[in-house]
Amino acid sequence: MELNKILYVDDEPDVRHVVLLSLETIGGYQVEAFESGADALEAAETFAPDLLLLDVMMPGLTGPETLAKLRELGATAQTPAIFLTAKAQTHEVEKLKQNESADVVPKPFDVMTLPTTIHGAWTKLADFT
Amino acid sequence: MSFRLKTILGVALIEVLLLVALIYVSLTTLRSTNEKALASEARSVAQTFARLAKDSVRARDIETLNDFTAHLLRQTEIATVRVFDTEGQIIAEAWDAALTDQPAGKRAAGTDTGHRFVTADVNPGGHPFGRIEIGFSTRHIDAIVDEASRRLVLIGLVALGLSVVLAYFLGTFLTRRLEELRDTAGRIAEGDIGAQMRVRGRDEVAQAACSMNTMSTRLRDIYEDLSDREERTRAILSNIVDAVVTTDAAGNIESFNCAAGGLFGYSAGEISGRPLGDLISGNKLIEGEPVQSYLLSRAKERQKLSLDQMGQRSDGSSFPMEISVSRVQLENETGYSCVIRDLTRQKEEQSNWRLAHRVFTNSGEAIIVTTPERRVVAVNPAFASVTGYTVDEFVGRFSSDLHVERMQPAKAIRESINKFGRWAGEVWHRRKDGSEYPAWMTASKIEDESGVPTHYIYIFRDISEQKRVDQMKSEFVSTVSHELRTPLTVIKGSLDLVRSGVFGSLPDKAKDLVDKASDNSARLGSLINDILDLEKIESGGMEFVKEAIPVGGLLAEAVTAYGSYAAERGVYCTIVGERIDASVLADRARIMQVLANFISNASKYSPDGAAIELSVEWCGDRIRVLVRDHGPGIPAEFQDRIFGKFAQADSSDSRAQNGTGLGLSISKLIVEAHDGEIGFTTAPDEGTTFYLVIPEAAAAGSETESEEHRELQRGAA
Repeated sequence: MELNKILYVDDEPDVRHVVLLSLETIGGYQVEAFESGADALEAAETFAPDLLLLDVMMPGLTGPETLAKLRELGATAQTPAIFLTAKAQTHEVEKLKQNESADVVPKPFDVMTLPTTIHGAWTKLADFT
Repeated sequence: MSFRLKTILGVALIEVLLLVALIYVSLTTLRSTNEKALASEARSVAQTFARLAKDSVRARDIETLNDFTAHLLRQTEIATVRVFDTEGQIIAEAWDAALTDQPAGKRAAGTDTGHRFVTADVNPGGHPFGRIEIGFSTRHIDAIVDEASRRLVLIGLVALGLSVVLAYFLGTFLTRRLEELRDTAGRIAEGDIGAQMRVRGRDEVAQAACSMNTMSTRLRDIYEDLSDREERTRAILSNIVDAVVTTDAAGNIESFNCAAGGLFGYSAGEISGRPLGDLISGNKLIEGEPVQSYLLSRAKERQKLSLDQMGQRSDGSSFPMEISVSRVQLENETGYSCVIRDLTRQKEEQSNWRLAHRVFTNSGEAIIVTTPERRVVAVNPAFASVTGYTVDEFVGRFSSDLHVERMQPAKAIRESINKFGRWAGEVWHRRKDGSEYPAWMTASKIEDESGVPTHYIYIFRDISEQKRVDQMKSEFVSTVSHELRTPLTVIKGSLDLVRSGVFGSLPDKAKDLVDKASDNSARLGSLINDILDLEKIESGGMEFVKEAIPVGGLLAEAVTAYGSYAAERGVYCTIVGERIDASVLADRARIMQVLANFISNASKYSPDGAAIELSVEWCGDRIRVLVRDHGPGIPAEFQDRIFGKFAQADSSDSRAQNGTGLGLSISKLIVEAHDGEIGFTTAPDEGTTFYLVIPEAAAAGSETESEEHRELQRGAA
């Protein structure tokens, strides 16, 4: 199985833009970016992503809340998930990792190496599931 | 008059009386015997003469008669001879001139002294013819009696003398033993109690001596007993902790025990005879009287009168004391005994107690004191203001009334106190109005001499506000972290994307600028990370998850992780020295952060192509990890502040500009959080070695390790 489609949610338009560019241009992935969890939930079923990339702190649904909703959908019930977070405090990371098949990539990240990092994390999660 | 003289005089008097009586009786008897013999002889001579001379008388033969009379006169004791006729006319008369100086004359027969006259009638055949009178001289008898009395007196005197001598010796004999008796009594009187005298015989003196000896012995026993008792009393008095002073009726000091000497600085000799008032400082009056007279006038027997006064030492200094006086009534004298106690310590204790009480009352921290059964015996005003209970309301209740049951580690607290003496931590309490609040509490206990806890002390304060501030701070940090990093991610991401050339190449000058912007945004990112790290560690917000990490692996990992960083700067990392087969107890990520910092510093200051040498060594039961470079060394003036914040040797140094200046501060905090040490050694042009010393995992204790294991397992699950 190849990592191809990535569903990405981030409320920060600039970050969303840069990440989108990085993943598309450098990683060569097919990325659908949404500014909120609600938007993502609407599109998820149709898009059927290989990876969920979620910002944690967002207005409305937070990252973990969005993931919980996505898990209720057939298409994303078991899709590997990665949180992007500036909260690098250990216990918070631990809490996030308790979500099944989820990992954490801390902010700030290096856009040049982000695709590689994400691929690595996805591979581990995909093997796990 | 001595006994001896009395004896002598007595004996002499008796002797004289006896002698006088004896002499008188002897002489009287001698005289009467002689006189009777003379009278009888005279009568016989007179009758013989009457018969012989009857014829001459009848015949008036004067001549014959004169012959006869003359013949008679030759008889020695016949002094006069006279012959009378019937008419009483002297017929013949003769006298011895040697015996009498004159004829008898008209003197009646028998009446003349010195002479005894005897008459015999001349009447042969019953016919009276006349009468013969013969006068015997008693001079002879007188002479005999005189002689006898002389001799008797002589003998008497001799006897008297002998008696006196005998009496002297007897007296001497008797009095010598009496003197012995007297001398012995004198010796006893002079203090030689128990003196004995020799007992001779069984007479009264001997018996008296015997009694004397017994008395003396008994006296000695009593005396020794008394001395013993006095000694004991003295010893007790001397060793008694309280000062004891006795005075006479006027209040002048008679005795002064050791403790009193120590207390007042006088020797017993110095103070003896001085008034009790000299021991009392100041001239205070009680009810208008000086203290001494107040005490003495009111002191009673077997009942002490106590006053708190200031005592006056010999050096003039004064001290608080309690003086208790009681009256001692002996047979004829009154005295006073005073017990003085130094109250200095008591006063100090009182003052300390008052201070402690003020501390208790004014403390900003709430304080509860309970019995071991948790019954509250005291709470302070701060307690009242924290909990809403009044002080009186809560005393007598149980400390558990404060507890919020679900949050209360009461048992653990008690166990910790009993085991380690104290406990400190966060608890939840409930106010009187039912609201709950977090409190920071320290608990400890008070023990008696034998180590049995008598009270428990809980000191706490409401930390709601502190918690709220902490929460805000934490949120702020989190927000800053997010808010700063997000734009930075965008900036750096955009620059990196532009720089990567995926959107087409840039002119050289523009590329140069974009590179600089990217590098500096990276540096800003590091700076933010470091500041946040520092804040988290300092506020205790950073968690350290410690595990046993083999040191060999740790070095290898560091070389792998940061080797490329070194290589970029033209140096390389290598592991040197002996291998140590041991593990350190550490938070892997944080210790790696420290090593990264060491390697990063070493890289910056190493000459091109130089080696950065990593090694480990034992440091007691801990392990030292060293990172050595071959750089220029750390300037002496910078060494002191190398672990300070934003510390860089030279801000113009281009190498330094790549760092945040916080790396070593953070490293120091991290190592200290591992109960470790951080340090360096440096020499100009020879290089610098930074090291950290942290505990070995095995030595750190299995309990901690297993705790960590559980933690890790939970984390992995």
